[in-house]
Amino acid sequence: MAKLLPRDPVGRGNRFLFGWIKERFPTVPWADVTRQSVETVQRQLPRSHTEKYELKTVWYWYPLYCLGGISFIAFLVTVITGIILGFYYVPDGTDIFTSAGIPTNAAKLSVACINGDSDCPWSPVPFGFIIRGMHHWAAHMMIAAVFLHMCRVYFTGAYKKPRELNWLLGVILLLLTLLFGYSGYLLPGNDLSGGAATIGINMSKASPGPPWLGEFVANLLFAGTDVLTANYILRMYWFHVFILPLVGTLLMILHMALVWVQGVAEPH
Amino acid sequence: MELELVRQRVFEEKPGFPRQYGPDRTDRQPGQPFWPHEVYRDLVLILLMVAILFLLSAAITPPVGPAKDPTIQPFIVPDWYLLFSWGLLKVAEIFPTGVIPDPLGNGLLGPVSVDTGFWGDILTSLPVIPLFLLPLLDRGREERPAKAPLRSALGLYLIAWIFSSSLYAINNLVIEKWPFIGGDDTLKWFFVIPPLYVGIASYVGLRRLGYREMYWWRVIPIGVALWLFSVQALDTFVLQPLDAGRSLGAHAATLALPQIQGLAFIVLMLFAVMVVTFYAVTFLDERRARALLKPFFVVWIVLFLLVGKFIESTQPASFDFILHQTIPSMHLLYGAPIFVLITAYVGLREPYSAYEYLLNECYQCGKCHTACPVTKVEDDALGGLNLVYNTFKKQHDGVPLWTCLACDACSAVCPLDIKYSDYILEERAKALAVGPPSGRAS
Amino acid sequence: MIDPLYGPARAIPHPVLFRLLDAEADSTAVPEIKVEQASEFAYYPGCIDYYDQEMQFSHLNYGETNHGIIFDSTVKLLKAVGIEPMILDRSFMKCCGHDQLWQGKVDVFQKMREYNTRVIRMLKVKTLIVSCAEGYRTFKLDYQLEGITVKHITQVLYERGLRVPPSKEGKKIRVAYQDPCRSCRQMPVDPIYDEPRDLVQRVDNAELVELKTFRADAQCCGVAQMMYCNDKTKGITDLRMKEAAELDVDYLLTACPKCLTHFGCMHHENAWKPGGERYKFRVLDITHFLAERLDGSEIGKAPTILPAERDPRLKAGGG
Repeated sequence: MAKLLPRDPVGRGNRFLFGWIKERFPTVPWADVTRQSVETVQRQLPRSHTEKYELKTVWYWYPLYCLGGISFIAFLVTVITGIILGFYYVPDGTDIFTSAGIPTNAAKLSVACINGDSDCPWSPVPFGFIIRGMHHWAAHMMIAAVFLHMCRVYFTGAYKKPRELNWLLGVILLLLTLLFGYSGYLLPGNDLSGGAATIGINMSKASPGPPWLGEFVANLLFAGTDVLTANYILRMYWFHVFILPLVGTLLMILHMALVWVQGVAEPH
Repeated sequence: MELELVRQRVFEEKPGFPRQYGPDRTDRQPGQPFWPHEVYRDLVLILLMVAILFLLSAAITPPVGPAKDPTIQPFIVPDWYLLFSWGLLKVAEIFPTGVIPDPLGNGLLGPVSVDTGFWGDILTSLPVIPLFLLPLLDRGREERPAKAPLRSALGLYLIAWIFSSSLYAINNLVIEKWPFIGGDDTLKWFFVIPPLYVGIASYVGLRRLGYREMYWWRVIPIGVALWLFSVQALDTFVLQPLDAGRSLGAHAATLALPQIQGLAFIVLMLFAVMVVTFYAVTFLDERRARALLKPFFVVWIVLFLLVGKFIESTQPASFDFILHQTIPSMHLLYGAPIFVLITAYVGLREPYSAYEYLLNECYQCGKCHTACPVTKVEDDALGGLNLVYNTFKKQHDGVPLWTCLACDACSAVCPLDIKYSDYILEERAKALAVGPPSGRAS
Repeated sequence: MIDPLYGPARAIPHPVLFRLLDAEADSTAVPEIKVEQASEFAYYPGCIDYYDQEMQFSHLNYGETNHGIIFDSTVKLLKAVGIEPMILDRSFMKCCGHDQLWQGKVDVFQKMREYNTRVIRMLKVKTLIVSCAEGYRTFKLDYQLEGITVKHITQVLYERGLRVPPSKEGKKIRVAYQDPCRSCRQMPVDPIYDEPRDLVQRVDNAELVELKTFRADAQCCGVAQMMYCNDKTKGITDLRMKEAAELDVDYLLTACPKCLTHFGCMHHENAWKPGGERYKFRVLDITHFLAERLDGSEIGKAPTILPAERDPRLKAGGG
């Protein structure tokens, strides 16, 4: 035990410097006031699971329970950066040829301007590369977080009664997230976009079912059955910017509302 | 007054807070309130993630590349999260193709063209359908991953399978970088064997963690792996060379002694670890098996790496030769020993003390809480459920150590027959062992 | 001081008692024991010697909680089935150590166990009879007396066929039985559920009534190993007493002096309440109940050591 400091009858304070200050200036014990107010507020808060059960061991699952929140915040970041990007992006994929005969398209050029590349015909977007970078990394983070969140829910059995509906919503949201990503990387009109669109159109055309189904799905998703003539960039833009955000946001709000109402599944 | 405020704020009446106890409990999975503690905790990690996001965005700009060219078909790699679908599409070539004229017979479905795209679509939905059906398939009450080994092992199997599928999507890149892989076939086998290894090893490990009956669950996978390894080694090094113009046989005239020696040594080392492990796991009791295998594994791994390094540095031609011979059958030649190592490690574990074993069995049914007379009068028992479980987890259960009557009402109703009063006795003795000798005031 | 709200029972000094018992444990020398009449049966009264009126309730208790009478009743009953046991009383035996063991004072318990075992073996006891459920469990499980049978008094009476003469009371009485935790639920071998019930049914005007929770589910009396005595434990005891009151019983029987203590204390506190809320039943040990009916001596009369004119219960509002 520390040696007790000598008593302080005058109120000078037991430390030299603080005593000096206390003798000359009116000091308010801010530390005490802060501590008291914090403790009073803390006592009004309900006890958390940890406090209620006085958990002494670090429960190693805890950080994984944040993944849902992380995916939602990543989504918000993509929405905000996406809105900013939308001011500059041109959803036109028709092939135009430069004077040197190199194929390009308006979508790719707009992305080049956002990125600050040399082949930008208009003025570059200031700090566009950061916004685009954030959109890109936040999208990847969201997909990773959604997948890991689903794994966490699966392994901790949090899909069981009464949370089955929430799980189904979650799976639908996972598929929506993947579609977000897919429609997103089809938009810049680069090599990846063309190749992925080819694969996508071919897979849609091969949809199992009646023969008319393939054509129907390809037309629905890609606005055409042939990559060269399809206006898939505009169609994917519509999906990426309106349909998926609308459906996704509604489902996300419903998903989180269910978690709020039912409570987080008890960690064991 | 303050205590009242606290009591009001505790979510006694709000939904999600557990209010029912006992065997007739219908709220199977009550929840913890989201606000405020979950939000606070999430915020910490979210802020960390956003910081990382800013850093990444500033440091690494994703490249755009050239614009799409209608005249060429470039080689592209989709983003990582869709690689599994791409891989499934590529592997669909092994399925039969053709045209089915009229499956339903009434012209409704018409001629169905079965090609790789068709199979790719069907295969891509394979991982998705079980996800949708999951709540229907698993209606049990067990939440803990360690106590539901089948569910956890199946989940890990699926994740390994998706990983294998993603690997196959970039098969040409892989073969380009590591030509000794030999061919597409080895990568195709990634769909089958490594996920099985992952699933079975995790099942064995989780079963052991849950204190279930273990012996055959350990012996059979290791035995089967040993058998498959032997069959594969026989095929690769004995039967195939007998075939005209294949691997060893073709090189027979030019093979140098060091190469054969190196190859034989590697194969024998791999065989040795499997045989010793199989012996230990089958014929020795757990403690002796662990005592034998722990140092054996360490020594073996170090020796194996040293030998490999030695061969690589002194005889690169031999090293190359060995890789070319063994990597195409890597799933069994290298995969089986690794699988055996891991399965033996997780299948033989240090047992807990008797109390920890017993108390860990608790599956939080809440009957003890209903039966305990102290919880009926003790103020602290706010939603403190599961006497046994919470005591084991050193969590405050509303019946502290010294208020317990040791009347065993809880033990009488416990479906697992956990004797709580014995535990209390031991804990009290332990607590007083550090105090003055005969309990008298000092 | 007499608590005006709850009566004198709240002032019971448990810590004093335990200091006494623990101090007794330290002396290991066995005194001279004069065996008047050796027998293979021995009766160990245990706490009754300590918790009798002399010790605890003498000047405080105006109620009927009487531990000493358990001793008398047991000896009388044993004589009625033809057993003349050696009495292992407080003059040369120590406390059995149950409370110390369960409070965590294992070393004190071990000293007591070692001493008591020595004496029991020295006296060449074959069957040890106890009238206390905690003693039953302790001697049977925690002492590990090889070759010695430990029996509760109810088991002995049941096996030996105690016969209760026809009653002189006339009216039917409703009798409830409290299963002590220690001799019923906690015993993995030989729990005592049926013997006391059978004995009660041998009394021809007694109607055995089962409380809301009984046998293995029986609720504890509220205090174990004398750990606490506060509002919470009283609450538990009260829950149990209410179960008996709801069924309108005339007698609540126990087989453990601890249960008797706590129920008796509660009963006594309750006696200070206005008339409508008083418990109407008597709380007795089963041996006391059976002994009363053997010769019909004290049926229906609540014993008290105070003369009637000074009994404060007869005054309005209590003292």
